[in-house]
Amino acid sequence: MNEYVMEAQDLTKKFGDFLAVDKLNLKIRKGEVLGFLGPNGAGKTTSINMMVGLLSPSSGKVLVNNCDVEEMDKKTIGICPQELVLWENLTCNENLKLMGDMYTVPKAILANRIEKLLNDLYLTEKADTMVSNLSGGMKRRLNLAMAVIHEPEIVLLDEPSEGLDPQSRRVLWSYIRSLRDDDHKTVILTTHLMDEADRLSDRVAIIDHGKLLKLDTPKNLKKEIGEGDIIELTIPDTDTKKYVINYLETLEDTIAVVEVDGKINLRAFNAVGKLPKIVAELEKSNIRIEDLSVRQNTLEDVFIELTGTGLRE
Amino acid sequence: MKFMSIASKDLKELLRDRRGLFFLLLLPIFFMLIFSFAFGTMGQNNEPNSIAVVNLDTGVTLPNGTTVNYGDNFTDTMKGLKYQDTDVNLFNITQTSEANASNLVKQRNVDLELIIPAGFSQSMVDMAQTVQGTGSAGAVTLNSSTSNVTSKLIIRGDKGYSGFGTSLSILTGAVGSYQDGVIGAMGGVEPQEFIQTSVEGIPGTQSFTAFDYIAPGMMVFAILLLSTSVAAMLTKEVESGTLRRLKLSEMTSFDYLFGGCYHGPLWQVHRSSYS
Repeated sequence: MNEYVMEAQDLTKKFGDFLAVDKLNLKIRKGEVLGFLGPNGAGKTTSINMMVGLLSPSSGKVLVNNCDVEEMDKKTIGICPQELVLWENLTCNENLKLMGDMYTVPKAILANRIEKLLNDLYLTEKADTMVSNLSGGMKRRLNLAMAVIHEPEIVLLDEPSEGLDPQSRRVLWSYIRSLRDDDHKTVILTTHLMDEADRLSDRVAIIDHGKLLKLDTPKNLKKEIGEGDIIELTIPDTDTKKYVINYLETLEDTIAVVEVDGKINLRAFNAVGKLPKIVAELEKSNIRIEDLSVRQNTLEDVFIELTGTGLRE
Repeated sequence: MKFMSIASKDLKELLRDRRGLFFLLLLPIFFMLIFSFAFGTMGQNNEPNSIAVVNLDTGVTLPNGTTVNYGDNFTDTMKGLKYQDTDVNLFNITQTSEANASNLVKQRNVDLELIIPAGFSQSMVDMAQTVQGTGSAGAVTLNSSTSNVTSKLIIRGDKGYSGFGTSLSILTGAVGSYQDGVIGAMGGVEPQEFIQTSVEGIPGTQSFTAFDYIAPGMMVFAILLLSTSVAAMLTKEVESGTLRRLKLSEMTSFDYLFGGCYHGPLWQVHRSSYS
């Protein structure tokens, strides 16, 4: 059995002079959930589109089960796009049946599959409800069901939990896990929710400016990129923030000091031990601390560390 | 049979989209109005209807010695008829022989030919005597005196030609008015039948029906509407992203377009019915 189900080799895409994807090399293992992370405009969607055959690369190639993606059986991949792509004037049942027909799923199998999908995604009661009458969460779940109606080997989920409430998100996460654990599918997950990527992904690929920056397990990434713990400081006076950042950078064993969402994040070894010293110094300088917390390093810290804090759009 | 699924999907979407359906039903009416204004006779229908009159009536001499010819009288009356509140004549009359009249009809120089029978005047006189004699309403046999005395007007033309239908209806109205005028002058009571008409097709044109003439237009209209309908559907699918979803599946372009056209016949029938 081939260990890698999909492989991108020197995948490059140019739009005029703009280099969207720069020699991307990526191997996706069979039966894993790969988190595909990157800031807006990093080249995620372009890479994904090339990997599923929707976009031709400028150079390089994509192999799916050792075959060129152009020659791949269309049943191999199922895509759940970021946008809700549903026929609003059809019922849930009719939407799923239509997609099943488009993939030539035999009628008897299709009926059972629709029933199971609706059940797994808590949509059974809405089977005969018009999509236009569904809530946002229900539409998201149906959007996912549409991508897997033909039981593809590779499932691509493009920000599947965008705009979902925590309850719906948990249903979705549970289903994604079942895709891997019970159905042994390979899942490629793009998301901006670091918590989601951390919880679901076996490995995480971080891409920026069209280049693959890191590819590893969330645990290894956090260990490698973000050693130590994080102290989060909220300083209300914006004028003194720069002074505080400069001070924190001079501390012993400081790994990084960044400002994220108005908060100063200090990542350092033995962060807890440094707290009394920091507090004393800021009080001495007459700087008021509005909030202070210590936490463990997260995937978001790794992401920010690798891609920076600047806006991309 | 993916195209059947596409057709079924399109039809369901169409029937469930009330706003779209409303416009879909309204569109043919709108087209009909536009086409009628552009190519029809709306707003400019006060034009004389060309007809050929073959007057075979020889007239009749009354007991007081005067000679009358009701055929000429009827022809002159028609010549003088005008559209209401206008100076435009109802008819543009060409008096000619029976053979020439048929040629004119075939060449569509006139819409129809009207043949006034030889004994038309005699039948009118007989009618007057009968009416004055009975003084009551009821069916009156006009062919009372001799076998060749009849008030039956023969109207001939190409029954599949729209101009024939228009002129026939106006002519029938004119005959009715003339009949009322003559009875009024006689001071009698109107019988149920007075001047009869017989409509005949010109040999060689009967095989053509109204459908034969409008069929090409209907086909063009149906193709036009079918293409706009498929284009609208395609635009909607592109906009919503559903076309991309379909393209990722095993559906082919043929399935999509044929499916889109397949559900159309129902609507084409509806639309064409207006055209």
